[in-house]
Amino acid sequence: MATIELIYDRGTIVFKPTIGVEVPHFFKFDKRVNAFRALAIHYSDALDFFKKRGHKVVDHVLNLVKGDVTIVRRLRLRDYQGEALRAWLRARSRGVIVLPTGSGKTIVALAAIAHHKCPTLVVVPTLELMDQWESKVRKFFSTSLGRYGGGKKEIGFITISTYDSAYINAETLGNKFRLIVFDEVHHLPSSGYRQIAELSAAPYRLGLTATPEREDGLHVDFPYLVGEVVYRRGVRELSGRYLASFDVVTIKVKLKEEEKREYERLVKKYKAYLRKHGIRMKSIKDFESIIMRSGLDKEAREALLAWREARKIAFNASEKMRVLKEVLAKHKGDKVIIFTENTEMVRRISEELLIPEITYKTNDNERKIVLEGFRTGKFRAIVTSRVLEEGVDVPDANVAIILSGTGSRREFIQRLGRVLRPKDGRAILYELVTARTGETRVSSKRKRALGDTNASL
Amino acid sequence: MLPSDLLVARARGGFVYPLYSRFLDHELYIADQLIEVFRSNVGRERGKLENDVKEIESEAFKIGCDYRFARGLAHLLYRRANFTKPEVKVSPLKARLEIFTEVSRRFGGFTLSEEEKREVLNVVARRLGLSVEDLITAFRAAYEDKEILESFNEISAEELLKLYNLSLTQTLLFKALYLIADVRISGTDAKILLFNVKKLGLMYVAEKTSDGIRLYIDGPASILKQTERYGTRIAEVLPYIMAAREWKISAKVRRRGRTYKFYITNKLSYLFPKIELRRAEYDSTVEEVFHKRFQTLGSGWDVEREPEPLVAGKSIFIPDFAFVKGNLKVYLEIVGFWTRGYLERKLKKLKELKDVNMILAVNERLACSKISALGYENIIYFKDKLSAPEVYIILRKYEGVRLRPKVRRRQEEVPSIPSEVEEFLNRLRVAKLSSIVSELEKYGLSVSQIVRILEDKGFKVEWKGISLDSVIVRKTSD
Repeated sequence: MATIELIYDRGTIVFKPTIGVEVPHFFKFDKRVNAFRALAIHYSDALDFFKKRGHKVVDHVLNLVKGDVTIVRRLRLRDYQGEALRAWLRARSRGVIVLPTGSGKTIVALAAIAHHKCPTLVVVPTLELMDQWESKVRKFFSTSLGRYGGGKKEIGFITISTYDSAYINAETLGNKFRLIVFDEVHHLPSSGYRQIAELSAAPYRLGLTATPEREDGLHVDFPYLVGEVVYRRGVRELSGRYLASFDVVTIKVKLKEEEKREYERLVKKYKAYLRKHGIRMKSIKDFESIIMRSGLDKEAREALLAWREARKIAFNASEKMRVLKEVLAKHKGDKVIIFTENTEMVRRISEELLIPEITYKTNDNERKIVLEGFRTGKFRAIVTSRVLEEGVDVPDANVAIILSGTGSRREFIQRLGRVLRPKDGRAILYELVTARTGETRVSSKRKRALGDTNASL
Repeated sequence: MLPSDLLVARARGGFVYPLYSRFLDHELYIADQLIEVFRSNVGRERGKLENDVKEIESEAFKIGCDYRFARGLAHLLYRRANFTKPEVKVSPLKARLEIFTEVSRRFGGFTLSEEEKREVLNVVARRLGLSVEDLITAFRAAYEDKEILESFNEISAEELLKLYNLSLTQTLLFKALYLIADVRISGTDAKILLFNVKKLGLMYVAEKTSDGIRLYIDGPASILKQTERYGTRIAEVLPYIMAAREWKISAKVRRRGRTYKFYITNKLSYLFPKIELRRAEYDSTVEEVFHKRFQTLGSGWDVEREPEPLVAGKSIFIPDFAFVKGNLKVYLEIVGFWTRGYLERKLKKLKELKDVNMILAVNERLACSKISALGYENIIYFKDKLSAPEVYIILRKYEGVRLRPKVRRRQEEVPSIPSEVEEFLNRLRVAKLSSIVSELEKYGLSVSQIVRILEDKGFKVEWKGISLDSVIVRKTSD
């Protein structure tokens, strides 16, 4: 039988035309190099294909990071974590595991790494998650650890990367790892990030998320990119025993008289524009069309500015500052996280109340020290914008206060998740909502979202 | 390059084109205003600069500019600005951490009144030996808008608009699926262009056209799926294409879920900055030394440093030198680091260059594998330095002179040998070429003539290198 030499070329695999070899359908003839080429994701399939036909494959594809991993502390898996791991192993070490935030998804991934003891790339959405993964890896393993992203480009036996860096450097990373872990895997199917999976030859793939469904429906591509959903548990199945219970308290904050007048004036202006041009706001697309018009169209621009201004008033009503202080007064000494989407508000709260702030502008060093200090209890409160959005582990926080937000389903669940970390006692989540503005709707939407989740899980 | 949301472009009939600045009065006015804002804010806080810039942006909008235009210009100016941290008595990080720690210790995480806040600031200020104002300054120094604009790299309004036009084009190409460039280009510029194409992980296919070369540029995965993956890198290649004497660019570009064609030629080059690639730098000293040596040889051949690129198969071959004499043209390519496989591929490429005279000079010292017969006639091996006379010997072959063990001088070129020279040579047994040259130079003989005379007189000239010190001349007829 024929011999095929398979090589890796910047995110693709290539072999020369060989007499007597049938070409798998995912290969295409590339006349630039007179050879057949396929995306690296098909590496395992290609091996299977050739071997099944009795061909010999001279395999130059993987160029794995050298090294080793030793387990320095035993990983204790809860029942469902063990089940999840076994389900994934049964599926030839491919697939997505769906578990609620706070249920210890990371531990399952660490157990997968411990099982295979192979070079592993972990892809995460944020720098905070990189920090968190790093400390978890160091806690359980002794190994060479690399950070890829946020200005660093180190490759280790276990390498942790952001989605952005992994996307940009997909060609370089594509053949260096046998296992690739996608944390918060619901990010992966987007048209850019999916290339991290497509340009990688890693045969073992693990995806983790609490919320696999995407509004654009692209989660149907999980089987191709990572593998099928092999295990799934919802909040309801785990709460009580494994997850802390929590209360949601909604506080409606009234606008001051002059804020209200200004708010109504702005909304009127915005709506007048919509009416005049017959625009119905049904989806984000309609909104984008206004933004597009606003380039040169004065009216459109003014309408847009009016909308932004109104939103700002609703989100940052000065009354909210007063109410925030009232809420805080009840929680002196508790572990408190305050969320607000608006970075100006973050700064205002930080400066006025002397609470450490974390935004995308916070310098690396300060961010690490503050988060670590919050974990150990040295700092009792932090105020943050969206950077903590997903999966960041802030153990022992028992009070969360949301000052603004867009009310999307995923965001709300994930944020809740942060106070859901297993701990003693109850957790409280406050929502400060501006009354009689668009924001009340946001609030009720959030509750529905929560209801949905509980119902469907 | 600009953030994608600042791209101003129109789509029409399947084509998309950026809305370039045509240096109209109001555009120049806005550019001037913005430059002035940066100039006058040197030494001030970033926050102040940002406010001033925003004011110009809204002024621009009022006089009918797209707000993305003004913001785009500002973006380019920010990139020419250097910011430094404000001066503080204690590092901002230290000040902040001390304050946060104190707040947690004293008040459980936050201050809820002015009194509590003052208390914390007083305690920390005293501990650090600062005034409360200095402490607050240090606390705030962590904010970006407290940075100081230290310097600003000046630019004229017109140049700024040209830079903007280039950036707009690059930003449009961020979403390019592929790019086709038709260029008339010098060898050096082509080398820089292709070096960058390869360095960026892109691929190209070259084709010879009636008036130059056509390059298809995309990436490895492009044949497998339409992808914007290589767009940002294609955008980076753009200036290198625009540096060509003549260029035409067409690209397939995605925009808002649809695919458009983009087309532009050097007829619009007045819209863009003049792009000068760094040139005239020799790739290596080997080439530089060789070039100088060859010119002093007095060979009668003209040497060109920047021959035009040649298309070999699907790729481009860029020789280092071209030697021209009348209608004759011979190319020379110097091979640095090489493996046997590399050399074989190179030779294969050369075979595709029909009707092209090519000499290959291979550096033995940089070999990664053993040399053995490769079946190419015009191949010279050298160590460290390439011998100009050796190349000349091969060139003579093209002049119609057959190469023999000894190079036979042609009648008209025979230098008349003074009797003093004859005597000198009669005494000579072994010597460095350098000492012979210094002895015979005074008779008006060039190095190549001396070499020819020596070979004629039965001396063996051993080329260990180009340095005349390393050439040993030995009498063989004894």
